[in-house]
Amino acid sequence: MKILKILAAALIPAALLAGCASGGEQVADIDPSDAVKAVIAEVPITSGIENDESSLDIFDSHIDADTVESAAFSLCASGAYPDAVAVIKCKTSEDAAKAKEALQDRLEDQIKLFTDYTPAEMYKLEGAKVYTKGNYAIYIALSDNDKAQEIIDGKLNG
Amino acid sequence: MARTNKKANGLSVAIVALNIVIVGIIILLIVLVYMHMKEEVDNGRDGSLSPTMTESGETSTTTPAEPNTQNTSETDTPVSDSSSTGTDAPVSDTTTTPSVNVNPLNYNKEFFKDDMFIGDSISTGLYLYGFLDQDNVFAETGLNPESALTYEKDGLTCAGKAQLLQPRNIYIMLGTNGLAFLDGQYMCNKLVELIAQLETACPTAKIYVISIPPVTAVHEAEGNETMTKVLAYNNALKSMCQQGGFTYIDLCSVLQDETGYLSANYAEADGLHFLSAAYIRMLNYVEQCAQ
Repeated sequence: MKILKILAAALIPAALLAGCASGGEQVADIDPSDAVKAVIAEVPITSGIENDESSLDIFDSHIDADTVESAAFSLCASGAYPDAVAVIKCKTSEDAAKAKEALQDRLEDQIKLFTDYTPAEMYKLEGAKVYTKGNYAIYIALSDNDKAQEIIDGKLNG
Repeated sequence: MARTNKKANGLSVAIVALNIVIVGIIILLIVLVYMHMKEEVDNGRDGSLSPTMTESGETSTTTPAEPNTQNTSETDTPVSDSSSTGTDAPVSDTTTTPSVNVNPLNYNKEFFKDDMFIGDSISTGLYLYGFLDQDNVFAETGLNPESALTYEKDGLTCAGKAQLLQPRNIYIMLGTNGLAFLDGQYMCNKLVELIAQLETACPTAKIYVISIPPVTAVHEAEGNETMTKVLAYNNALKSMCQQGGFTYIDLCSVLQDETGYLSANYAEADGLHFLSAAYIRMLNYVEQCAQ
């Protein structure tokens, strides 16, 4: 019995560790580019252009590049519309929380810029989604934000 | 008999314990193998990420331009100085379709590496499409000649950025956003103030004033920005340049179609902003003017 107790003491934590290997929240390991492509296939962006983490600067979010493992985003390159979607895979969930704050700031800047500029486009920003899931930070400001979130969450939920 | 049972019981406990140990070791091995494999998969995924932009294949999405370092074969007569007569016809078939089919090989990114563009949301497209580096552009949605005097982006006004960059050439294309609510002459006066700021910030820079672009007939029908207002403002800009000794670039004529409106080859769906083909045309033309 004593051996059983020792084994149980050793194996149960090991089993728990294995179960929690993805870090608390159960999130699938996805390629951000796949997620962004899947979104824009369903919710197109006019004059949309896709970029990865090497061009994160032009997303105007001031996310610390050192905290990003990989990223993909698409936005309206003509400047006419506020449409944008970004999936940013951070190194830790804490990094993702900071990235979310930066994305929230970006959203607020966009709201300030577009309120008087193109009021008809404001519904995209007013219904925008900025959130984290595991190590991922997500920004969605599109014509159908719910649909886009459903697609991204579907991938992240595995 | 009792002694035999005791011995058998002792053997049974030992076998059970041994089995448990073996199962435990197997579980531990499985966990270790799983973690090792997961690590390998993660590494493999990282290694496959391209550092460059990727083509999506979606009809509404394109990849940023990859300009070459050669100038091309466009044959417009550039209109510099203050005597514009730009009358180019809209351009070739390679730029007639929406952004996905743009030929990116006909402008010279290298030419603009020491230059700076100042503008509104239309000019943001210069770096959002990937035609120029963001460092070479100071542009923001809604910017006009008045707000450009004080607007700060990342803690810098455009004069502040110019002071930092010390560009060789500065190109200003502002005014579209003021057409609906600012007087044209007032905007020109504000541009003169802006140019004074820029001349103080970088005295060696050559400053060019680019006309605001045309709009489509559909956009005009919405009422805010009309071709009458565009042309009147551009005329005021040209006069301002003549009086102030600044160089005026008539981009408007280059982007107009035979009816005088923004060519469908260049027009974004809103009839005001640019498809990527327009930036290629713009950069090609501006380069010719600046040369």
